Amino acid sequence: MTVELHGLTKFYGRGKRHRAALDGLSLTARAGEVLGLLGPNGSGKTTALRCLLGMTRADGGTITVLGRKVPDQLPEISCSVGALIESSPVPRGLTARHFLQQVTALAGLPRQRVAETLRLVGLADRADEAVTGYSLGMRQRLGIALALVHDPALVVLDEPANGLDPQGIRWLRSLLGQLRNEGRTVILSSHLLSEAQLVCDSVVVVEAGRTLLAGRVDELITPQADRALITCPDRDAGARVLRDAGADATGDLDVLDVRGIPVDKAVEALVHAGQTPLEVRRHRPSLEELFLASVSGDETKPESGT
Amino acid sequence: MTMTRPSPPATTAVRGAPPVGRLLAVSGQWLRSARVFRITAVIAPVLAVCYGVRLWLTHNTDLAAAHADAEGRRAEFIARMGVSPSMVDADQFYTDPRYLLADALPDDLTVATSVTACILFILGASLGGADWQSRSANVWILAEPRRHRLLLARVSVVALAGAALAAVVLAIVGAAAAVTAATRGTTGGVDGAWIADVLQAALRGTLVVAALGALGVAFGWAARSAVVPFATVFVYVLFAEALVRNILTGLRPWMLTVLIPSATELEPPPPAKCTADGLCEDVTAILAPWPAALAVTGLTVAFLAVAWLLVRRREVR
Repeated sequence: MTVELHGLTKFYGRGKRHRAALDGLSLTARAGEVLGLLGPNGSGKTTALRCLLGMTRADGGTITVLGRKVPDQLPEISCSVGALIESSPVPRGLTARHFLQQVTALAGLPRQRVAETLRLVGLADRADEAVTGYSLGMRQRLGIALALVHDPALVVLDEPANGLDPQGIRWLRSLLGQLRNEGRTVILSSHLLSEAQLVCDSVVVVEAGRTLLAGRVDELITPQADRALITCPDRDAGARVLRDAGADATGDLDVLDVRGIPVDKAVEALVHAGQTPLEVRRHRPSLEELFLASVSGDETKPESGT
Repeated sequence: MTMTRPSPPATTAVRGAPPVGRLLAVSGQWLRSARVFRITAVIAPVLAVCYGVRLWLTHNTDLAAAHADAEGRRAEFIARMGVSPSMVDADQFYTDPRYLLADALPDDLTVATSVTACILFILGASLGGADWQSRSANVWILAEPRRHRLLLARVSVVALAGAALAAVVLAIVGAAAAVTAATRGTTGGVDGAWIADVLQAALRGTLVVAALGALGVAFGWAARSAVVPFATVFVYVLFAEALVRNILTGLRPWMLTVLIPSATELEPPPPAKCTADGLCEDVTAILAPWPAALAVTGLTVAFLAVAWLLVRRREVR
């Protein structure tokens, strides 16, 4: 495992303002995978990432990164971790090239890493301009460059798509794939669930500082056994049969959204009543549906994949 | 299902925080790349040259003209005030136009040291505060999580740069004073002991400037702002020092605005002369030069310790 957070707690404020930012959060990121940290605003995602990076001290729990305890043994691995938290630094009067050269020198790596990284993030043409003149998207690319320039084994990106245009988001998607192919571990927090579904191997859904849902994306979005889209010869008759069988059948058009009973039992009930379905499609939930179901406590919340 | 993943490339082997030497070298790069430092490194010597030119321009060896000028002002004073000429001495209006190296240089070194120390404090506070305001401290702290090492590296390079800058400024002022004394003044009273005293004063000045630079960085890091240190110093000079001057007079020698000039004096202050019945003449109480310089350094070290305590556990935003 590259990263293991176990039972992480973090409290802010005192007295009436006392609140838990993290309330026993646990997660695991395996080597060479892209792990998505998803959750509504204020759910504790950034706090968890800060604790992981030693920027904030957790009040309880354990953090292991690259086999070392954080924060005590963090100095042993610090140059193997790259991170972009919230937004990129913008030092006044400094160019992107100079800034990256300093970070590379600190890690003891050759200067050629700077040119490579600038090309990778698409800032090679603007590398000698003061970063204070950069647009939001360029600053975000600079932040990503700062996270990558010292060749880290673990990359932590907090909302990396912020400020990126559609082309930039597509570029980010391919970059994350490239990082995965290079064997690096990536942890990213994101609100773009469709993007997370495309780029993440695993996801952890966090709410109120707790883990709500965790698992591999391909396992989480497998077709559900108790939900299907069924087309019947007579929609109203079919719906009655299904309701009698204990299912929740809704739908305005010819297709009924059936949930609540196993799909094979629904089909069996329809056939038995002479309403043999014309088409049955098992419902494959999107990550967004899983996320919304998880954070809202929806009764249709799917089973956790882990 | 077991997924096969490529093994991490050799370059992603676990690497720890940088060694001290590398941290200092990169802090040197950080300092050199800061525009405010580059401007200061040019402005401070230029100001010293201007000061030297001013010394040369405001002195001459025309004693007869100085005497004539003094006589003219005496006559004007007598006419305006209506007093008897025998009551007014011409010496009261006479100012030696020559540059008297032995008397004047210590004061010039004090001015140069005080101005350079102020500049270094501003530079240090700007650099230290900007580290946090621009969020670039986050990048450095990720690479070196032991924040005290990072703070010490920053403080060290600014102090070293401050010492170098002070040495250059004091050398320019000293050279300008020597040239002015040779061409438009006198070197009377200058001997080996005096030169040794001046060199020691310059050394203390260099130490004080380096300390003020370090104090600025520590302040900037502790406040995480470039503005707060300036506001604090403004309040300190305007209120705290005024309070001490008027009420807690015993603490006056320990005030920064007294310590810095005290450190560049050539000699310790004379003891107060007291009469047999216990009446003492009013002398300004100051510390001796070396204790004053060490007090400034000690104050910096104490504030550095406070900054370290604040920086150590506070969260990085």
